[in-house]
Amino acid sequence: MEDHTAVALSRKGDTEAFRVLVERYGPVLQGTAYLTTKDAAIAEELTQDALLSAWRGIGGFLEDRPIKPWLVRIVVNRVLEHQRRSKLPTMPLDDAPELRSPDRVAEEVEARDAVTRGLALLDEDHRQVLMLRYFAELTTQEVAESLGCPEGTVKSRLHRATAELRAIIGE
Amino acid sequence: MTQSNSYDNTERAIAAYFGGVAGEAPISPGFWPRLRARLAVTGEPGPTVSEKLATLWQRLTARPLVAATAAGVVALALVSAITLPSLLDGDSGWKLASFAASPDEDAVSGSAGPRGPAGAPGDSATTLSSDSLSVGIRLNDGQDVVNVTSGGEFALDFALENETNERTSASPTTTDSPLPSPTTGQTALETSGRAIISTSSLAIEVDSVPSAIDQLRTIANSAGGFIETLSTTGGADPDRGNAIVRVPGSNSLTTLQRVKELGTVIGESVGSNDVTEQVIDLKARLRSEEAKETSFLELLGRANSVSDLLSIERELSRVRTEIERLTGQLSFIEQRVDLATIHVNFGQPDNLAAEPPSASLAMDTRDVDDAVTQLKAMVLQAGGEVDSTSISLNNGVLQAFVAVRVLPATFDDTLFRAAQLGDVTAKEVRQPGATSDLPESDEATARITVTLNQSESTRNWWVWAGAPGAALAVILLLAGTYRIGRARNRA
Repeated sequence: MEDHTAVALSRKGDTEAFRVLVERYGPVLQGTAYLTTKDAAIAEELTQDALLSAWRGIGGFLEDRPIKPWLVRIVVNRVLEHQRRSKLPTMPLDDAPELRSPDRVAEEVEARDAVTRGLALLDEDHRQVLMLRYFAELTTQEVAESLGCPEGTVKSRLHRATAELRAIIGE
Repeated sequence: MTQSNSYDNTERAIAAYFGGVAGEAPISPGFWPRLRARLAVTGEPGPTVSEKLATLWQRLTARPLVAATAAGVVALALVSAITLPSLLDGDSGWKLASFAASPDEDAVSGSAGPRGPAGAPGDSATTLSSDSLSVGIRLNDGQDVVNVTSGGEFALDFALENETNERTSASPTTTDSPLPSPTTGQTALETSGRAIISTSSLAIEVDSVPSAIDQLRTIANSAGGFIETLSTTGGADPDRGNAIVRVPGSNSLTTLQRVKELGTVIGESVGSNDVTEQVIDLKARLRSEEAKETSFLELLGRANSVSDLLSIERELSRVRTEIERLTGQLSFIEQRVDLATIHVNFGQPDNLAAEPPSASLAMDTRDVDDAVTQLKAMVLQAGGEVDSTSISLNNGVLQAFVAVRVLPATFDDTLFRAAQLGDVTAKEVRQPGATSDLPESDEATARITVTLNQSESTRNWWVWAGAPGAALAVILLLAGTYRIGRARNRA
């Protein structure tokens, strides 16, 4: 089922059509939430909340627009709202290696360590842009829409972040 | 993951890293059932935009009273948004009130002498006696009160640097200056930092033109001024002479009085032109061009290629030409403001009599085209002729220039009616004595030149167009805020 068909059916209250969307984009949405919160339970809760909001508001969504950026945006907003409410500082990504399973660590250990180190040096803003661009695979324009900032800002952050990482990895 | 094909190594590494980390929290098997249960509690998705509009329409039609009240409020908001700017603009009836409250506003021309019955409401604010200098006021009906000079001296205190507060408060130089001299009962124009060019004309019958010219030179020199141009006709023993005398503004009325004593005065006029806005505009443009010059000079220092260098220099030379032009215009006006101009027309008794009256008028009007049509019709009806008409659009402002000739007998009437076509901003009349003394003439010899400028309120059409839009935006904003608030409360 194409996205727009699923959206059209969902608008009429078809939960099975909505399920197609949930299964298609759920992993990206929850991954995005997890990458920021670093807590699987909270990430799932926030993703559920975001999808519920999406269900309620899908009537106002224009069918011919891509659905993924819209969903990512809702998740990002939920995550930001959650962070504001809980006032918990974001856990830096350099803590991540400890959470990873040993077999994954084995893969490209060199490169990933370099990326991890590099990402640890970046600002939260820059990490977020990288995440939306390379994990959620949004275009720069969609990233800008998701974060509610100008596309130029997204581009410059992306450029700076990748340049810094490239320098670190290249060492 | 089609995009990842075009990634470079770094980007791939970043994507792989994020993918790896996110993989630690996969979607659990219970995710969908839990979500479906929550969806079931929530019910159907919210209505679409068109459904919302339909519901709103239904609600409105179901409660006509509420709908009518809402429509009334919106209409009221629109009407006030449209009318307020024009009321604040100071059109028609409102201008007089503001004038009476602040007498120095709109003081555009200076003249002295007994004020005729035309004395306007509001001139009490200037508290001037009948034999001293009075302040000419731009009246609501578009007429300037310009009366005949009878002795006195007026000092033009013009503070060019005082640009920002020129409308709201008088500059220190104006208020503190030693204006009136009690012995002669002289007073001065309250110019409140405005730049005013004053021009007077005199036609004098003298017994000997050469001796009158000699005396004129002495008068001009003693007043600290000079004769700018001088021309005579009639060979070695001229019977007619024209001179333009420039004297410092503060001495212009005494000079005028002394020149009048040279012979019999046949005609005279005193006029003034408020050029404050022009000066402010020129200065602003000059500053902006100077700023441009500075930045171009900076750029010039940083230019890397010859083509950059050439294009910057080309721009620089254009900017410098503009600066020179503006400086020239400004100094021309400043000179005109500092030095009052007196046109003197000497003649021996026979040569002056037949001079027909002439006038020039400058007006602001809402509809320039319409005013031009009316003016032409008026002149043709009175047996006059239209010499030239030119209409130009400059910086989005429509301007028309019309030169007409009318029968000397209808001169006064035509002038009066022409002045009704808009708000008179400048007026100059040259009249050799009373028109009734003129020999009856069937030829249209009395010249009137009229400059019509589109008035501010019409120029700012976007205020009119923008006001309803702004009102609508406010309504939408309020509605949006209400909805957000309601949604928050529900959550």
